[in-house]
Amino acid sequence: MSTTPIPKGKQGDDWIVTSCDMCYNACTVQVHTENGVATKVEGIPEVGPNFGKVCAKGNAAPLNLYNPNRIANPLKRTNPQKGIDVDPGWEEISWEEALDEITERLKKIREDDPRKLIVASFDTYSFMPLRAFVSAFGTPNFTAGPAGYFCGNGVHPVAYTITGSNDLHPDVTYCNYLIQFGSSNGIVANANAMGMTIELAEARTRGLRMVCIDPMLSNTAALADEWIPIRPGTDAAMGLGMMNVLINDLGIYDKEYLTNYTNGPYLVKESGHYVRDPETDKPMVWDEHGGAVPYDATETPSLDGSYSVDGSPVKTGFQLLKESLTSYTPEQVHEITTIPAETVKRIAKEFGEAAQIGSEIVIDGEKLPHRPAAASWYRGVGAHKHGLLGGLSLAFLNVTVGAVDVPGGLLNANSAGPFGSPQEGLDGILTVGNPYSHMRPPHPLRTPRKPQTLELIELFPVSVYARAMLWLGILEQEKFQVPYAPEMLIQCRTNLVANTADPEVMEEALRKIPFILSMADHHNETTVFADIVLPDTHYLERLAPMARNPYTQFQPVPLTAGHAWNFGFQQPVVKPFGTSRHWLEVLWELGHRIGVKKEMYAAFNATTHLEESRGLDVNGNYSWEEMCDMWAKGMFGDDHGLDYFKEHGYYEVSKRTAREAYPRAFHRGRIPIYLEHFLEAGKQVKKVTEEMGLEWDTSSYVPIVEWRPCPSFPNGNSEYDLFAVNHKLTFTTFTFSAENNWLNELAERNGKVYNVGINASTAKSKGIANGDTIEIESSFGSTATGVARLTEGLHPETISIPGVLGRKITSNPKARGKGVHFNSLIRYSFDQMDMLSAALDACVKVKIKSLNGKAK
Amino acid sequence: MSASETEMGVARERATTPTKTDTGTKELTVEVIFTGPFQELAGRDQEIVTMPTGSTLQKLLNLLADRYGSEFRNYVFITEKILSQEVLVLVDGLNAGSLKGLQTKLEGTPNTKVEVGFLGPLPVGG
Repeated sequence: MSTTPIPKGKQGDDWIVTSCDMCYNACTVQVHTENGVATKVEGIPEVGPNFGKVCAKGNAAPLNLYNPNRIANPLKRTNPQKGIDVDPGWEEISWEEALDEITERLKKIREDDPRKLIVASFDTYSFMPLRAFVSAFGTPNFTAGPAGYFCGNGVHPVAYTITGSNDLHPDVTYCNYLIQFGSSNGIVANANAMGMTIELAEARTRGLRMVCIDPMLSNTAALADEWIPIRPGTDAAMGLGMMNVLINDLGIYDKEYLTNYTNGPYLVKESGHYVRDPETDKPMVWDEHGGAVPYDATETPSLDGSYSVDGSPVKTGFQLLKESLTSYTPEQVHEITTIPAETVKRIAKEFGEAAQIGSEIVIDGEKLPHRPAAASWYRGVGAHKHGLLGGLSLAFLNVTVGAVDVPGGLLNANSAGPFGSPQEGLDGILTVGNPYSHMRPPHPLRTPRKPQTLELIELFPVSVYARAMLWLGILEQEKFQVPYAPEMLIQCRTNLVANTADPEVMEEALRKIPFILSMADHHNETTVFADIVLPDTHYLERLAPMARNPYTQFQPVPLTAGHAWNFGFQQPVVKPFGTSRHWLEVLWELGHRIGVKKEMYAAFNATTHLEESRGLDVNGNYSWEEMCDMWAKGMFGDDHGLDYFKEHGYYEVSKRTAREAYPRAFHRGRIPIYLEHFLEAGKQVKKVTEEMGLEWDTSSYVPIVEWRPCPSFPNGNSEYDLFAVNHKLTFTTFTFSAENNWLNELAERNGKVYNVGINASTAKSKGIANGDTIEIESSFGSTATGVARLTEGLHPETISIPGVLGRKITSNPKARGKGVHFNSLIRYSFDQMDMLSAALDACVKVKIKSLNGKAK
Repeated sequence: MSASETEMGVARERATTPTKTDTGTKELTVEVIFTGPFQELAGRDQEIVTMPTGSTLQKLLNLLADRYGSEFRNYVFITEKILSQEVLVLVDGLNAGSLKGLQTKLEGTPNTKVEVGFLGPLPVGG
């Protein structure tokens, strides 16, 4: 551990350093108070991950703190009827009364069947203590709210596959050519939002060329050198077309990388499975000097080619991929994506040449491959019926030019760090080496089995979660043969109804749960379904340990070599409003009240990976503050406990080394560009679901990536002729920022928020003028009205709807009724799911018409 | 134990009679405690296993998996050598993951207590 003095902020009686919580990026901030009132939020220039910069949301945090509609005291429902428009008949009760009732219910459920409890939260900092609670209770049912519906499903399993970490980011520090497929790197969004924005701005000044392939001229595209409009849901076809041009037409691919760091050389039988060594069962490769040998028995495997082993024809995995790519000619890609064939060829060539295959760079004294070209993606690619195959396709585009986990390319978030690095696992395939990485990696394959969880994760063996299935698991519990029905939901600072999909389905699911506990600082479309509401604190009122933990998922990792592994706490800056309490601290207390303290401490020690001597004594008794202190000391030593964090607010463990930032050359785990494990997964899922009598599509378990159309892909003349696409706003986070006066003012002044973008030519053809009120009707039968904003910055087949707007409940007066609620247009149903990743397809076709007769 | 006996609703039972699983000159008595879903999978909340001192945790868990069937095995292991992320095994109160994992040797004197419990999925989203 480093003990290097670190620069302080403006600490003093009226400046306190803490970690922001206006999104999950947990930037380091210092907050000014006057007479006990928080008045200003600033960064600290020397301290990451945001280096003095604070976004609009961060600056506006005090406005959420002083929201006049905050909940002051525990509330109990008196009206048993539930609905968004139904008055719950709230009655204030005491904390003791509330906690007694909750404790009694939890005890009964745990005695009966602990799986009947569901917990929901997307507070990323909470994951370890929350895991301790749910583990001790004994429930596997957790949901992160909207996340996992149409967000990381096409990213996280892919990131594990190619790097061993949950997330990815382009190494803009050393990159010269960045393609963003619908992603938002560098516009105060995505992971390490501020850090990436700073780095990308510097890179653009240096000369990095940025190309955005996106249905709309997004905030990212507006800053790019080139915007290429694409039909929604077809990014994978573009990626595969580029690979085809690179590999089959131009011969630009990193042979050394593909040979040494992927399973491309593995020999594959006609059955699709590896040729295996009869003695060791290891996959075999073709030695250039003759004959099939185990993959680790030669330094000279052939990357491509067709051979014969024991009289049977075999090919290498790369050979099969190469052949498959010939289906994606530029002309065919044009048919699918609408991108001109010449553009496909040009972008592929530019990308391939920018990768500088064969070049090297020295960083921190380490000579490393230098591949300054990267392609990034996120929800835009993943939120589709075949989102996982889409993400893999773009990942393999990076792999083709050797640009993963090397300077200038696409990097792991935190697969390598002070804790270790990726490893060679089963069959030589890359496996996770970060002990703090607790998502379920897709390899080695988990054995599918009859579901025990409401999200049916047991039937999604190559995904990291199956969050979007949870509510369908509740609604169709008997069909999916989940052996119990939920009894209670604890939802912590989430708005499941507005942020997920199809509010009517969500409402129906919530009504099926007999008791709902909401912990929230103000009401939203979900708290109105609660039986008890406990008032939560704002982040400026709470003590939260490891609010920024870069070793774990979704936290701001050091983006490149030389940036610090920076941990942060949240600490109270002002006194809590009313009787509000931090929800996680309340759960910690409930764990003690219901008698699972010992189990909770054991699970806490296991999930935090504290050395046994530094963990919690399972026979001890720890208050929230004491636990925070133990955790910090256990991680950083006795000098860096809670007192240290109260004084400093953050702690930098060490600088990220070149080996940690660019681990590819330092481990032997291979990237499976030939997905042999998918074949086995598909067979096993088919077997289990057939035994259960379930109709289950396993056709996506293919060993070679491919583009597959969403159900909404144009297939003839339909009256629903446009795609509705949803896009990110830089100054909102889910729904909780919508009530913020400053952010609302930004939204009103922006001109692209509370309306619906329509391609100007398309609008003209439909007789729609700028400012018209329009009706939007989805092919699923839902309707909405909005105000038309005509623009040339949209693909002609699309309309654009931003953020999570169109709020419904009366206790959100600033947000209510403004803009369009995109999630109401999409359908939340089993047939809209990606059967690999459980992503919900956000592709929706609509038709629009003017309502006010302004059309010319 | 038949498969049907492990289904929900079966009363939890305690196996207090030592179950001899191996013979050796120095035998160790292992008290196995099942918590969470493992109570249902095993159909009991604890049992006593005897095995040679120095046996590995892997050997014990394999023995239990052989006894309680494929569902128990699939819950505990990803592969034969990789423990599932959703099982928490405590050996005399210490997390096996922070000891030597499946290669942790069972050699307490005179008894060892192994708790096979549930470690929920890390509640992450994204």
